[in-house]
Amino acid sequence: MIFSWNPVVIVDIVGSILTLAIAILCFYNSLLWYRQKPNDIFRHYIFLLTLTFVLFAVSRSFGHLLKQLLSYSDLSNVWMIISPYSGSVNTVTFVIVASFSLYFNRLQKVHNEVEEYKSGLERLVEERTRQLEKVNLTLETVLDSANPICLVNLDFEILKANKAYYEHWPEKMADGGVLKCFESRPGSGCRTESCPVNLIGQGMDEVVEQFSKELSNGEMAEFIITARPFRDINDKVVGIVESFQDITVQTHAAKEMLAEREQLNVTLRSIGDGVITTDTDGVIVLINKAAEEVTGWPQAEAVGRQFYEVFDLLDKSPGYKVEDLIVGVGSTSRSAPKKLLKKDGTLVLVSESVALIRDMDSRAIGAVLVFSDVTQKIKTDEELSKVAKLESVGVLAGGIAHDFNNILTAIMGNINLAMIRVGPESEIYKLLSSAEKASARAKNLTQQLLTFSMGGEPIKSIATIQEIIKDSAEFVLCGSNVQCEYAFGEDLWAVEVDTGQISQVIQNIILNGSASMAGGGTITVNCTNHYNDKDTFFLKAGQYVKVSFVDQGVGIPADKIDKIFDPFFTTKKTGSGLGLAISHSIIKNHDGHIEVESKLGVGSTFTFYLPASGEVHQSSAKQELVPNNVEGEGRIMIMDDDDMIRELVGNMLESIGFGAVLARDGEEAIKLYLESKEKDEPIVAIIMDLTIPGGMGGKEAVQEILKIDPEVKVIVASGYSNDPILADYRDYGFSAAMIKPFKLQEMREVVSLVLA
Amino acid sequence: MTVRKPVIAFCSLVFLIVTFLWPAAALAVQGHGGAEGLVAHQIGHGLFILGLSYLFYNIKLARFNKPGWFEFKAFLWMLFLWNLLTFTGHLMKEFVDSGKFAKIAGHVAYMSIDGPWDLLFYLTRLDHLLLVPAFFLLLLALRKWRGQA
Repeated sequence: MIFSWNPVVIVDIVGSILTLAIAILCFYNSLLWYRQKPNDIFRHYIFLLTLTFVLFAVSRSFGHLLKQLLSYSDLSNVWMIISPYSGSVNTVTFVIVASFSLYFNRLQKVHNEVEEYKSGLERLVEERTRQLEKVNLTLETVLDSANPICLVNLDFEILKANKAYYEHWPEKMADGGVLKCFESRPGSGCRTESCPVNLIGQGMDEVVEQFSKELSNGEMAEFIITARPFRDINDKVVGIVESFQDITVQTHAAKEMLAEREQLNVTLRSIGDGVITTDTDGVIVLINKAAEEVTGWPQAEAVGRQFYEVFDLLDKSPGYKVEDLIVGVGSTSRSAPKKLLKKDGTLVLVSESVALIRDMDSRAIGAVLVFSDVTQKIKTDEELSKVAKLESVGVLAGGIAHDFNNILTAIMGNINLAMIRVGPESEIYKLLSSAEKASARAKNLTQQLLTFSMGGEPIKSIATIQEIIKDSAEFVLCGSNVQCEYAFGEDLWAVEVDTGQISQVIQNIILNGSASMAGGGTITVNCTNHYNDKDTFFLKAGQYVKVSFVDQGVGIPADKIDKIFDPFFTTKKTGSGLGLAISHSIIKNHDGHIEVESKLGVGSTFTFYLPASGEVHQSSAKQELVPNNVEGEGRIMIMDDDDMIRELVGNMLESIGFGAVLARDGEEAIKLYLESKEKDEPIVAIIMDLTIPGGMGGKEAVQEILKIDPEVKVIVASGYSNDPILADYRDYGFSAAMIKPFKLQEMREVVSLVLA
Repeated sequence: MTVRKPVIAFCSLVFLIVTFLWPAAALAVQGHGGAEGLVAHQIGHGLFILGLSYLFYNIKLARFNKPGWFEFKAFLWMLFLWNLLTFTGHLMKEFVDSGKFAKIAGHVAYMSIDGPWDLLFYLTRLDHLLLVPAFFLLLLALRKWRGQA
């Protein structure tokens, strides 16, 4: 069988070309694949192996094509030269392929080991990465759960901050060193010597400072900033780690607490009662201003002392403790007044209460002692008691004085008339004169009693106190072995007083002083202006003239000094016990005050204050000149409900030449006055009783009669010498006033004055 | 160091080229003429086959199952067969009668096939029918490996 050789040639040529082409493509692909992971040793090996295959394919294909080319080019002899080289190269490629193949196992093992090692490393890295992520997450969680924290480099740039930081300064979030710390949170300390960045940069290991920082909403907040160095791996300080503890609430609370404490301190120091607080050992912790004033111990000296050194009661028992006070007094009730020895040695009366101070667990942590100076209160109470006594006497006196005066008026008037009729030569005249003197004493007594009665107004006029004092003293001390020395201040204010009543006061005081100096002596009278700047129980604020009488007498015992202004209290056998009581009443009615100080064996000082009129009054008050007694002419009406008085006064008027018209009350007086006008028998004056029981009194009747005749002269007569109408009679339409009982001469002078 | 390496490589290459192109008798060395070239080549084929077998064996042991390794193993098989075929072809060429070939213009045009050995020889001359698919499989394997990356 004959086979064509052409297929062999064709397959050889085409196969060589295809092999060559595919080999080149294989090289190209292997190269690309290798370059994808050039460090992969196995891939490198496969690349080289492929390269040997390619080398084999190229050498063989190239040789076969060259052979075919030379053969068909009739250059077979050339091929015969080249053929051994081509075959040898081909053989070499076989050897190379075989050699490389032998390294597969070894390289595969190396590759596997490397891969395992790599996988192990990757697993390790992955595991470590997970651990790091976990740790990082934990750290981030811890960091975010903490106070604001940030990392700042030495150029003030914020490198890192936690969540809490951004919650405080959210709008200024800027990691990575873009924002400066003093831009993120401006406030006190920024870019100053106390800036933590500067301090840590200078070598400090820790900085703890309080700063105010501005929040994103513009409000200021208080922080305690703790800063520590942030170091790199070479231990070099490259920044600081700052943590911020927001203490704004605590700061505000502390401020409020301080303010509250201050307010409490101010309150404690402002209240009127003394307050002392102690610890459980009785050591003083706090003392307020009132307590300072009462005890005389300033706070600086009192704090730290035992309380009994400062609160020094006279009647305390030995081993005196706070507990003794608490047990003795109880928790809150005030004690009876006790004598407290002040730091300066003087005594005051105090009333105190003590209570334990307990903490939230009801444990005693100290005691609080509250007390007040009751010295003045007790004096006031005594004064009020005295006034009450005087008032009761005054009511009694007022009740009987009117009737008593009417009786005395009748007695004295009839005695007067009898004395006139019998003449001075008669034996009866002396008897009547004695009776008149007795009646006069009765009148004075009644007058003194009336002074007590409340509602009585002194008949005031502006006067200089010096003249009243001198006149009264000289009158009283005339013929006595006691003399007066006067010390009057310059430009003394004038006083608006009832001269008679004040004279009576002065006389009473000097008489008492004189009586206390049986062997004679000197009474010094001081008189000065006095300004009282605030209202007190005894005196209102204003200008006063202060008058003091200092005697050198035996003094008044302490147990009796509180009673000397009581009515009917006297140490003299012949005294009525009304002198000082009346003086007290008179001064009170003048809106003044009288007081006494005395030391046994040294003497007593009586002092009274009288309201000043506000002007200096140098001239003496002048008495109205009484015209000479005139002989009566015309008729005078007497209006009085008492028949005896009407008859007596009528007789007295007739005795001095006047005709008398008698009326029982106001209605009858008006009626009789109208009749006299109609009959053209004029009434020149009317004497009216002020009080008509069951009928129209003088106050109303004078108004009606003045309507009839505005020119009528009406004289008011009353036994109530302290009635305001008598003091200000002109305001009520009267022309003059007479106080019952009055003597004929007194009545004659008043009538003469009215008709003058 | 980095400068010297290319210089050394270049000098070595020049030496090799001169040695191969202008060989001279080495009287002190044994001669290698005659059939030594064929034997050496066949030994090369044998080494090639051993290398491929060893490679295939190890790849199989390694149990590579990713895409591309199947094609590579097929490539090795095909190349293994190609080696056997060409080894056989080289061996038979020494025994084929030259009278079996008819030449036209100095080139072989026909072959007289007188038995299975002649046919086998004829087939061994068509070895590219194995070699080309084998390299195509290598190309496929490389492309798949490349694609995985």
